[in-house]
Amino acid sequence: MSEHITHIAVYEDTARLIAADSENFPAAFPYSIKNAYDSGLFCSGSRGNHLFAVPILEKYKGQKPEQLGEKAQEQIAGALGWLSHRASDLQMKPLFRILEDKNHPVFEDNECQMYHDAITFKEVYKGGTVSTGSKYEKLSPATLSHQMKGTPAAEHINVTPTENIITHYFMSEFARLQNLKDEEDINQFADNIIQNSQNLYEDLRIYINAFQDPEYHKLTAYIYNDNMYDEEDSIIKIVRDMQLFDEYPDSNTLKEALQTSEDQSQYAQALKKGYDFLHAAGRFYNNNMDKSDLYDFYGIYTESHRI
Amino acid sequence: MELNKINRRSFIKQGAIGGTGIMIGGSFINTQSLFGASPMNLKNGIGGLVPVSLIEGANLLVLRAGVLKKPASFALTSDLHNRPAAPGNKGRIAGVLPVNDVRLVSLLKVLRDDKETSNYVEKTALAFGWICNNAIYNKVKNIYAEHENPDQILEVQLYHDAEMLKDILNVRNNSNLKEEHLGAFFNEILPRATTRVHTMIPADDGQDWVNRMTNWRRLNTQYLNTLAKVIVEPESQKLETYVVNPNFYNAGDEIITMVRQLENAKNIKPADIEDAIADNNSNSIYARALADSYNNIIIAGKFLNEEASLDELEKAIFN
Repeated sequence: MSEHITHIAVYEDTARLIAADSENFPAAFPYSIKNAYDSGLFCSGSRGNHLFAVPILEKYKGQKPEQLGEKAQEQIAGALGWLSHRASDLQMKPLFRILEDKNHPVFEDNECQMYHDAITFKEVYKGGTVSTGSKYEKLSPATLSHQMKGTPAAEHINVTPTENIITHYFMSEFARLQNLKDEEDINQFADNIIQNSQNLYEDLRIYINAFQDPEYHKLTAYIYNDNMYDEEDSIIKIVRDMQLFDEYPDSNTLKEALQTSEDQSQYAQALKKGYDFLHAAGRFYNNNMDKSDLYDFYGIYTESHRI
Repeated sequence: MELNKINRRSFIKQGAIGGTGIMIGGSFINTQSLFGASPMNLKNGIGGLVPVSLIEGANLLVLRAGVLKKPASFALTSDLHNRPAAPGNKGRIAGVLPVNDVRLVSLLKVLRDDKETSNYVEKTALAFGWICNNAIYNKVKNIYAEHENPDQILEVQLYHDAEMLKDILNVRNNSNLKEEHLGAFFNEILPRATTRVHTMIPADDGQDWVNRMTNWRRLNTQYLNTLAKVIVEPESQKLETYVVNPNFYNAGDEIITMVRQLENAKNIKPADIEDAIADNNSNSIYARALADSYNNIIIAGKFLNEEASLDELEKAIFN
């Protein structure tokens, strides 16, 4: 669950829980998520939650929606996205570690994470027939297809070299957005840009195979044995109804689903953890929780990270 | 750093980029501070897709020619699937490096003299990409110089990106391709790319980075949709002025055809590359930049092995 597709799904579903239970959160949260939805989404797929989320909340805490400018809303949504990232990581990473420790001849943790994304793509995004709530993050059947089959243009164009150029172009833009400090020492500068630019190292073909043609032993080991996702889980039913039919739960149903989530799938538990993390963020934002307690709550104990 | 300053001044003097701001690729760059205050730096060059495609193409030709020795030859290859990531990928981001900057030579000197330096192959790739970035910039700057309005320079760049991409897409004469579908396709590449990187790396100033990235993602979608529009339905007058008249790109140029063949997994003969490079003077800007990049990567490779002098290197990459 520490991969891109699952992270953004957990963000989107956590955002739905907040929207359904908005009276229990600072108004600034649903407001920022609504107005700067994409900022939360890409932060949920980014590193750095332990460094950036709490300082952002601290900067704006107590402020009401009307006091928050566009940039503040983007940052708050970003902080909440980062916290949802942390929630999924804490839920799922122990599973990957167990797999790593087993030293199994066939199963391995990287592939397990890719299977998680494949299942999330199938269950949450319905194989790409349902996109995200952000128009800047466009999922489609092409997302996990060889040659991007399933997007209408793919029939008429030469996909592979085009995708290659555009992908490298995105990487150069991401490097540009790092705003790296100029250095007289070019060797140092080169090290900086190499370390701070993205590495393309996840083999998308494995995700595609995991989605299009999964191997049943791997589904058993990676998904079923750990109960990674269960569409019958009450908390999952709630967010899917909101996503697909715009149907909001009544407060008792939501409360009960949250309370019973610990007996449910890993994905359901990640949503509960996401909800809890954001709820704690809300208490801190409303001055009902100390910063130190908040860091403890998130399991951020390294002193230099408790900014 | 003197050369760098001189080149920055001459760049401004040529009116290559002026005014208060310009969208380069998907980024809105404030050109007021583009070269003024240090530290700046990653913000010149021509931006967009053309440098990326040129770097990829030139490296591919050198790879097929088989003339570089390792470890320099390791830097030529990009790859979207490899774990760990292909070091050559770092070369493809060199379009963000400052053009005609003397530090390119400094970097190559480090790589010549210290084979143990960290990230050796990645740095070599970065230097090769930087060489290509210079080559295309030095050929295209005269077109930019004709346009003082920053919006128009953006438009020139967009038309150049579109013309090159039309060739890679292989959509010439295809009336079935709809603009909205092409725009959707471009946008659908982004989640695949972000999946491939596992997680995004925020800049050290994470809070501001959220705002920069938010803005970029909006502009990026706008840029990709506009690119689709220009590919499917270019305005003929603009195509004429920006692309055809200056002979920016000719898909029929032999050297370009060869790159497209290699990109489509077809074979070409190294001897034919040599012939095409030698017989390249009347070709399009893009083809001549490809030839310069090819030659200069090879000279840099020789320089790393002490088979080419500093003088030869400097003449080649700053011409």
